[in-house]
Amino acid sequence: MSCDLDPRLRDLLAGEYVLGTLKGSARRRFENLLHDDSRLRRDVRAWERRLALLAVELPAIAPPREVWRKISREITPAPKRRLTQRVIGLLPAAALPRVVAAAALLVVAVLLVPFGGVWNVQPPLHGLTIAEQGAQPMWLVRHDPSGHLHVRAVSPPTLEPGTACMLWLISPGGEVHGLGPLPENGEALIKLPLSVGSRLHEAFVVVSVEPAGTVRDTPSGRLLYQGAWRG
Amino acid sequence: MVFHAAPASAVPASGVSPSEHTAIIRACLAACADGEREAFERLYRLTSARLYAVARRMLRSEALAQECLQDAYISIWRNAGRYRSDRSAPLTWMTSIVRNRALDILRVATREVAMDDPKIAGLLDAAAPLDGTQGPDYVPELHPCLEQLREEQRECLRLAYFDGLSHAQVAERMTVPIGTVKSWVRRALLQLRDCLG
Repeated sequence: MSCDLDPRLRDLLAGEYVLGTLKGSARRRFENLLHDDSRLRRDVRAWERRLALLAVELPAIAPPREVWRKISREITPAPKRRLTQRVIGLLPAAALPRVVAAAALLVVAVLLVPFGGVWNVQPPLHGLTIAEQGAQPMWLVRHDPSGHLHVRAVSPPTLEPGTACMLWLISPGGEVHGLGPLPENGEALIKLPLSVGSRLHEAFVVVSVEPAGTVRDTPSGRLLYQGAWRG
Repeated sequence: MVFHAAPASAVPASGVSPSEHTAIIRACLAACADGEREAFERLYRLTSARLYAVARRMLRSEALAQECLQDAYISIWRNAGRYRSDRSAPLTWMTSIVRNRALDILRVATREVAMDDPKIAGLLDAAAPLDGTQGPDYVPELHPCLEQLREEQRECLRLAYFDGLSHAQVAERMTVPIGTVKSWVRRALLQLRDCLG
C-alpha cells in the first residue's frame, strides 16, 4: 500500500477499512499510513459518517435500567473515594476526630432525613441515607434508642457473586467496628456495639464491598460510601 | 427476556429537529468533558436506545450487549474531552465507540467458539433473530441512499459492519463466490459515496 495510490482507490480502501473488510496485514499497513496522513484520516471519518447509516436503520431498543445503574457507579467522581482511603489510611491515628469533622463538611452524600417522607412509616429521631451523591438511596438506616440500627434496602447495588456490602462504624477514637452485611433486600436489624451506641453522632460510616462470609478487622475492599453520621 | 419500550427521548422528540437534537447531544458531550454528571445522564437518556440497538445487532446477546454498552458509555464519559465536533457528528463518534467495543467482544467470543464452547456459539448464532426487534415482519426504515442499493449489497455491508465478517466469510454466509462479494461491496461503497457526498 502506497501513499501514491490513486485518490479514488485510497478512498475505497478507507471505506473497506471502516466497513471492516480490510483485514490482516493490509489493515495494519493502512493503519500505519493513517498515523501520518491527515487526508486519509478525513476519508476514514467520512466513511464512518456514511456507514453509520446502517446503524440508524436499526429500531431503537431501550436498555434495561440496570445498565445505567452500573455505569453510574463506575463514573462516581473519584474524590470521595480518595478521601475515604485517606481516612482509612489514618486509622487508628489520634487525629481521626479532626479528619471526621473535616469529612463531615466535605461529604455531601449524607442526608439526614425524616424517614416519614421517604420510608412512609413513623418517623424516628435520626436517620441516615446511604447514597451516592445525587443518586437514588441504596439503604436507609435509622437509629433505635435501644441500641440497634434498622437498615432498609432501597436500591442496593448489584454485586458480583460471592461479595457483600459490609457496614462499618469508626468511632472518634479510631476504633473500627464491623457491623456485618447490609441487606440485599428487605430490612435488617443490626446491634450496635455498646461503646458506639451513645456516641453514634460522632461516628464515621463506611460501606465497603467484601468477600461474602468473611470477617475482617477493617474495610479492605472497594469503598461504596463514607460519611459522618451526624445524628 | 424483557424489552423495555424505547423512551421518547431515544429519537428526536416531536418539535425538535434532527439538527437541534444533534446540537443537544453535542452540548451534553461538551459538558461531560467538564465532568458534569447530569449532562452525562441526559446524554445517556438521549442516545442509549440507539446505541443499545447497535450492540444488540452486533452481539446478538442481551448480556453481551449490556456489557458492551456499559463499557462504551464509561469510555464516552472518560473521553468526552477528545470529541471534536468539527470532525464528526456526536452520534457517529459514539456509534464508533460502541461498534469497536462490540467488535472486541466478538473477537474474544469467536476465539471461545473456536474452543467449541456451545454456549458462546449459541450466543453468536447469526441465524438467531433478535428477539422482539427483528422478527420476520420487521421492515427497517431505509435511508434513500441505502434504499438505492440492491438487497444483496446491503446484506454484504451489514454482515461486514455488524458481524465483523471478512469478504470470504460474507461469501460463505451468502453462498456466493468471494469475487462477487468484493464486487458488490465496492459498488455499494461507491454508490454510497456518490449519494451521501
